Amino acid sequence: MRVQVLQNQWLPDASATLESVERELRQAITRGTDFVVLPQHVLGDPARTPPDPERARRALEVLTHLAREREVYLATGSWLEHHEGRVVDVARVLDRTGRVCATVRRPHEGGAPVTGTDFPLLDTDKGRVGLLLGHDFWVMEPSRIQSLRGAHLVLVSGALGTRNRESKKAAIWGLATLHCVAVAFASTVGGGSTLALPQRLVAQADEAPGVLTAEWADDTMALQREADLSFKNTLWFGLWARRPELYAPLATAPTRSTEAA
Amino acid sequence: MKVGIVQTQWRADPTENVFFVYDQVEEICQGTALDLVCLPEFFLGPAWYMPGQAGLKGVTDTRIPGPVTTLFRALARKHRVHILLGSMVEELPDGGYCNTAVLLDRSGDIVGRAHKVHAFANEVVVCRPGDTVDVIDCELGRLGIAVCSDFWVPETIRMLALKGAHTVFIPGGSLKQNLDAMVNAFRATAFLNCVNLVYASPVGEITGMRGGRQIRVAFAGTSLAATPAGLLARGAEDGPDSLVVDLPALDVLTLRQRHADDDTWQGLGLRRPEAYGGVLEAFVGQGRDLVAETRTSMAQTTPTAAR
Repeated sequence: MRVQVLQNQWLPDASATLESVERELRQAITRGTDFVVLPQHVLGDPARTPPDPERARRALEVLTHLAREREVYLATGSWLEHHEGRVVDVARVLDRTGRVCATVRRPHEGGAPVTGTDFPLLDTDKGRVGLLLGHDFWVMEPSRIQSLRGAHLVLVSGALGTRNRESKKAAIWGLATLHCVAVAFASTVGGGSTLALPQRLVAQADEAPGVLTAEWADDTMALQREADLSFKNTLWFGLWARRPELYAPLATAPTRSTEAA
Repeated sequence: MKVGIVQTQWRADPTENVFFVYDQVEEICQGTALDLVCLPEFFLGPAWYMPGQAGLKGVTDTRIPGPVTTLFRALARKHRVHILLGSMVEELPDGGYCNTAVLLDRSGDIVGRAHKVHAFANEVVVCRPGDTVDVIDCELGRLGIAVCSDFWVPETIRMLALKGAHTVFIPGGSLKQNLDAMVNAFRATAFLNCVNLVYASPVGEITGMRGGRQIRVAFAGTSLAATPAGLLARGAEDGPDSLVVDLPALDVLTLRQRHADDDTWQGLGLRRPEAYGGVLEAFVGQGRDLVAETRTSMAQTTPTAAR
């Protein structure tokens, strides 16, 4: 399985950014690639690029063509659109024929961080895969739920940001380890795009734009998750040894006393 | 909160081992006003249900309270320090067993205990798991204890953080094959849950049969302390060690408040618990009865242990 993540740079104009993304992807997507992931706000700073239906249509058209031409699953990254009277940040996954097979919409609240309640899974010819957008990744539960429901790879259209940068870089691999799942995390200008398997960091970008590529055997995650009672391999344990009957507090709204704590 | 972490090295003679650990605690308390000393899982020596260790049955398991707690209660009183007796194989009054950590306060009183909730390896057959993940309110604030493999099920630390624990103590045992991933996972967990983590591990080796195969398990120390900002200290991989760290609870509680200068709060503060029913589901790929398989392999290799 070959996975690639784009770390792109915002140019002054969203159209120029899209052209740059297309050019970069055309150069980088190699034959046999299975998944390509683009970052959140791939076309530019959301504070400076208000929703534009024509731009959104054009971006989707370019990426659809690319997915179909290169026969890859392509997580489009996100951009702002109007949806049901609200401004939303939208991320999609296109399948190898260019068809939209997963969509995430998050309200755009002027740059304030938000997380969602839907964490889509898609069944691909390379197994079950999850899609996450933005801050959903930094809250542990969405990727945990996707992993528990059988995703062996989580595609993250994300942004690393500059605050707590080193801790966040560690957390990308850490979540792969703790959930026993592969993570493909694409980030924009701040850098830190990452490809991680549970047992190792496969590739990580610094701040320079470019495309990261990683390859692992199709059955890598299946083997990693297989219970091994010789305990030579142990990272499966966190999925198998769970006791969900004890975890109700995680799905319950906090009480006053815990909030105060 | 000033914390001492004692990384023990298993001696062949369990009695010698206890006094070796006792001396390590004495030593780390000399000249430093510690608030708490944390010991690893199985600081008394390997559990008798580990491969090749059946001869330790009745030797490294103990009643709680019992002679071991009595010994360390006196030490806690002497140094006016909390001691987390990492974990012991607790022999229960009805003949069952638990993997139990015990927290002693400065007076030597037992103020908290935690039974390992997520049984590892032969424990699924031999030990009774704990059924609660609770914080301990004590003089040092709200503390959590997660016994070794409890860390590897991330729901454990998540629940402790949500229940208000600012520092979670993890008596454990590092396996060499996962060492880099383990260290990074501790760091990531501290950040994602906005919590301090203190981890203590022994160094030592066991050999024996497991699943019909001769195996050797080497524990790799690497005790550590982490805050949401990163690793504070890391112990040796190949021998006993002692670490002293400062962990101000206030820092974590401040970080959990929403403010613009630092976004560490987001991992806890942006949660949407109403959408997390999926964590109450079992892993979809889980298709084997590991308890039955472990029971069979134990019966083949350590006949007395599996009864």
